[in-house]
Amino acid sequence: MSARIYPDVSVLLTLDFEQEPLLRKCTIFKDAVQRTSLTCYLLSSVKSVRSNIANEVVEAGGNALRGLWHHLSMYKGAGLPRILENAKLVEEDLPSIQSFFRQKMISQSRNLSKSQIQIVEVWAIDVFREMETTSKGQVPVLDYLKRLSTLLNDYYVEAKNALLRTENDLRLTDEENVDPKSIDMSELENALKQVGFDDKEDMDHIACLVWLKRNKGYMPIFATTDRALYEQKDVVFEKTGVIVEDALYALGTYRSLTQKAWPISKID
Amino acid sequence: MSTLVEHSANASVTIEYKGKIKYGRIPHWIREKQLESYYNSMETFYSECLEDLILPKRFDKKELHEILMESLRNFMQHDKDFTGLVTKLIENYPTFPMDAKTAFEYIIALKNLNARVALVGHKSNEELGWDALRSDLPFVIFSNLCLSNYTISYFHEYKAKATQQHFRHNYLLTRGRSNLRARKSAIDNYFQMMKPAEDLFKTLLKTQLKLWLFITLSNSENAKEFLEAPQSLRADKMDKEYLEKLKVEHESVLEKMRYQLYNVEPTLFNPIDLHRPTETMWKDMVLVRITQ
Repeated sequence: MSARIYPDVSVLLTLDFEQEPLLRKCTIFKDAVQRTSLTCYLLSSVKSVRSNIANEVVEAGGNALRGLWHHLSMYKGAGLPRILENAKLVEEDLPSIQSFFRQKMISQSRNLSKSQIQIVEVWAIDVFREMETTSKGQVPVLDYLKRLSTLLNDYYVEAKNALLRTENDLRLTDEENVDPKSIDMSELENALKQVGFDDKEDMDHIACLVWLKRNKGYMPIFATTDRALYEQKDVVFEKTGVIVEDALYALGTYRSLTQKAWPISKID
Repeated sequence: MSTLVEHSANASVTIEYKGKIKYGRIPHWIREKQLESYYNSMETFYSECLEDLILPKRFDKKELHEILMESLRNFMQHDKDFTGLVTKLIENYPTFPMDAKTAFEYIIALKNLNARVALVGHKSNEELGWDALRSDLPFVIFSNLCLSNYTISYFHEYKAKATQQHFRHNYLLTRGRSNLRARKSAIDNYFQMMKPAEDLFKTLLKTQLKLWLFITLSNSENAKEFLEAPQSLRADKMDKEYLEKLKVEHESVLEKMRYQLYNVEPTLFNPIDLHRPTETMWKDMVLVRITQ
């Protein structure tokens, strides 16, 4: 996730950039921001949120793989990991691996973890297909697990590199120091929980925006690709004064706000 | 253990230089001397890493240092390509007055070293992947160590590329005695240009080795077990607070190093191809099944 502030017009936008299914929308938004050539700033809190997400996601994937190791130990080696040294996987074992990941996915409470486990499941099938097999179509279990684990670590490297690239693409310059912990978000949290919305990172971002609104006088816009959050925009605005806008329309809203703001400030 | 020594030895090569430039064919004993200077610099590097570490009482730091040096000696004795590369780097190290041939030799050696670091880093990442599966430590510790290996590789790539560009534009074009001053300042500028990244790189290498030594040593009963690499890495065998401290220290240096490298050479961070067509196809199929 990343956020930017436009101090010249007192508007702030945030957006989820690394969510793959939403990449198209994000790219449109990113291009629009780049075209406007506005100065962008990174919130100090966003860096830690982004880093926590990357850690959490890799941890969920890693735990799923560790679970798969134990699952295969039970399935192939009668519960003894050492037997795995000689164990082999065949095409017929894939449904068992898939059902393991499905169970794992169901047990997760967070969407982020669910989607990461889903990615690992896709790899689990794909890696099996790509690996060299014996004439009987067998693949050594240990090599298979090692390959999956290496892939997960590569994915982490790529996620970290993507964070650096995004910051650069948007030409994010200085960090804007914010203190979201000083903001009491319980009222909004309770209101959103009642309608079934509960996202820790989004709450952190809204707290940052509220902090900036109160302490620096910005007019914050939360540009989001998350439909669930967008549907709660009225509640968020009522409780905090933060505008939640779809990423595709966020810049339009920003323009209309600044155009309206101009004559008023002139009169003042 | 062998990968650990090989990786740290490979990675450390570019940051140390103790030797004199000799012209013409270099006698065997001077080559030996040059290798010795590299060996001594590694000795200092290992001893500094061990000195800063708080280790379980069953380990003697002197003994551990000796083990690491013994492994390094074995590695250097058996890998003639590596020792040849070290000698090449030392012989052709940029010092005024440097001719074009020496500059090219140095650049080629840097590129060869970059290839070695990438290869050993890949081997080390595979080992880390397997260790991560068998361990109950946070997975992200292993992922960060892999990220660190990638960053070490990026640094070497950057160094080879930046050296080539710098010498092409600032050194090799200025020929003749009238340009001696320009050539001298080109070499000085080269070291100034590399300094911020090299300083951070040294610290990164040290924090990475410290973290890995602490994890493996805490899971080894004695030096022999450490040499053979422990079977599994368990969190209950180590001081969690100290582990966290080392982890945070490593993460922070790693982050700084990555920002530094991104600023000077953003192309290093281009996307890795993780989304090939077959993967997309499988992903779609899985999604269909889930939604059914």
